[in-house]
Amino acid sequence: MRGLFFKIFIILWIAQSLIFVISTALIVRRHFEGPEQMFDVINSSLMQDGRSAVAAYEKGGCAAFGIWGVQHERTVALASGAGERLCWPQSMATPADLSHLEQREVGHPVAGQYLWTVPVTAESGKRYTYVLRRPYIPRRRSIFDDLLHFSFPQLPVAIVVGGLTTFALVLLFTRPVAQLRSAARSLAKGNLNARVHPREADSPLFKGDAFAALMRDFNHMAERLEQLVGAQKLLLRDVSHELRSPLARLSVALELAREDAGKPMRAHLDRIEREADRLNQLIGQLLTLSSMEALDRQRHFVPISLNQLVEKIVPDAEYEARQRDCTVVFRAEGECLVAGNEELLYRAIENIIRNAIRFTESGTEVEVVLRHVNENDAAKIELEVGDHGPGIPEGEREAIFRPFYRVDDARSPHTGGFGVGLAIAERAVRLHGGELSVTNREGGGATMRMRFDAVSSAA
Amino acid sequence: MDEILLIDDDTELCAMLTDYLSRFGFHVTAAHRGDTGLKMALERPYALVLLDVMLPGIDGFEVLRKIRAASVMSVLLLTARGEDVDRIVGLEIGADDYLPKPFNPRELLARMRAILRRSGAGGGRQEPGVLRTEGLELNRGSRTVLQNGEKVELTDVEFALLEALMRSPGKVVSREEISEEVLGRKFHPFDRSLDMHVSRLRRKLSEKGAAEDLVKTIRGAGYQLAVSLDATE
Repeated sequence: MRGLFFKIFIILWIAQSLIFVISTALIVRRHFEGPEQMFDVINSSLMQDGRSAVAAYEKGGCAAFGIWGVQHERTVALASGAGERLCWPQSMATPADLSHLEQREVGHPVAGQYLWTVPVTAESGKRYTYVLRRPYIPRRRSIFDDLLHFSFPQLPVAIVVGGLTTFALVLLFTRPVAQLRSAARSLAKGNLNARVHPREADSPLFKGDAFAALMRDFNHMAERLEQLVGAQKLLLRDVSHELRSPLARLSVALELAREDAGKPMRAHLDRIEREADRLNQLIGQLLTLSSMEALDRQRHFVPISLNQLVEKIVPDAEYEARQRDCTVVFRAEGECLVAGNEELLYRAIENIIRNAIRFTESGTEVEVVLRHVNENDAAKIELEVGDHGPGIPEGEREAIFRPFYRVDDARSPHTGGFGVGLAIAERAVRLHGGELSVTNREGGGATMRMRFDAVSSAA
Repeated sequence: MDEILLIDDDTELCAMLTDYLSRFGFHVTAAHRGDTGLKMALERPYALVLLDVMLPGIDGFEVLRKIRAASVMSVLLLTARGEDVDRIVGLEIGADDYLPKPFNPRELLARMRAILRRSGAGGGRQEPGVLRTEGLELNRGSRTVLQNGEKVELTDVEFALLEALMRSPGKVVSREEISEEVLGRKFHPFDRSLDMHVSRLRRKLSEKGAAEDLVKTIRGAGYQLAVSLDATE
């Protein structure tokens, strides 16, 4: 956000400043196209001066000329059209040769003075050369001087005002952007009720603008998302619920059949019962999965000792393991506490351990290790469950946590399961703000790894 | 023949259960609505009531409440799968046990038997007929309990629970043991029904003047009937 803010700010500010600078330059240029223009202006006033001075001379000679000069506060001299000096004060410098002074010169430096010579024709028709001494040096005015002259104090004012307005403008834009971002992130995290709330104060001003429209669109999108996902979840739940009644009837009918059946029938009925049990289990798992999404259990989290939890699970797991001639070995390194919901954690860990038992080779052991680890300076609790099974193919390491996903070659009868157990575990772990991942072990087999934020035992 | 009242709106299921249970010595009367079921429950004493929570007419929990208000008849609740709330609320109101649908009929039988074991069995034990501790008097023969001379109305399960605790006063009885004996099933880690029965027992006893912590919960282990230091074993 900072990046965007400053980018916009800098660009707008530069644009404003450039606008100011360029237009000032153009204005200056238009008014003062070059020294020639300036000269023309000066020239006409010089001509006027010249004529009036010459008229005075023709009236009263050098004395009158001198008086004219004093009256007009100018240091002047007069020469004839041919170059003869007519009235020449002492203070005036004497150019060596006046003949070439016929030419109008902008500033003729002569012996440390600058003389302007202007040929004047009097009313009498005689021609004279009016000479004027000017103290200053008219030089070519450069663009940069003009810029500097016109820039202060305008430029700093422009910068400040421009900066302030840019700031306000950018703020106006970035606030809605920031709101949208935070709502989008919240939505992605799973809070389907995340919305943007444009502030009431802004609305009269910006009711119709693109940002208000964008926010409305966003809210609309979020609502549709919430509806769609909600509908799916509801469907899952309803289907699972509706399945109970037929299943309940099926179970009783099965028992009745068993009572009345002869020996050969019993084996088939056993089979039917197993399948009915599987259906039952699947429904149970699906309902668990769908109920997890709906909950806001974070508020009811308490410190749980994972050591105790795993110790509760291991005996039942061992029982299952023994059916396949396997064992479960549990090792804890230190007291590991996390904040959570006991039942959810129980289910997650149990599912993972049972999964490991299902996949490990007959006669091997499943290792469960609980320890403290340090991840980027954060204290975490890690629970690893390692098996000696076929491992997980590289490309499927994330996919296995999806509901019903099963690694292709594992649809063999002895592994069992529906592919929902890992999805349940993943969701439970996620609800706890933890991570669940799987890696393959050297020497064969997979390791499931759960990580949670550690809670200090000062509880 | 034990008389069972089955209140469930699934007529097919009722028909099949009636058939099934009759093979085990149970005579089942079925009702398919909450109001009719309640009426029947209050008309005659039944050994056990099987009650579904989702009923037309009056809702299952209401029926349970009304039955409990009038008697200590045993009630087994048939709850919806995956709804923890049902279980807990049901037990709080006063059900003796619960079983989520769909259930294994054999398990239903086992739970029914566990609840019924107490009523009707009675004789055959070599243990003393009356247990006395801390102002409590439990009579196995008449299946009554007196607290400081006043009668306490307990359900069969509550009676069995108190009996188990009074057999070893001051000693901790494990949850596993109590679950097997009183409820007839193995103890599951997240089964709250025992807790519910214990808290109901506690409430009933303290209403009649017993100490609040007479029945102690020992976390992670079980329950214990607290005795004062100078009591004899």
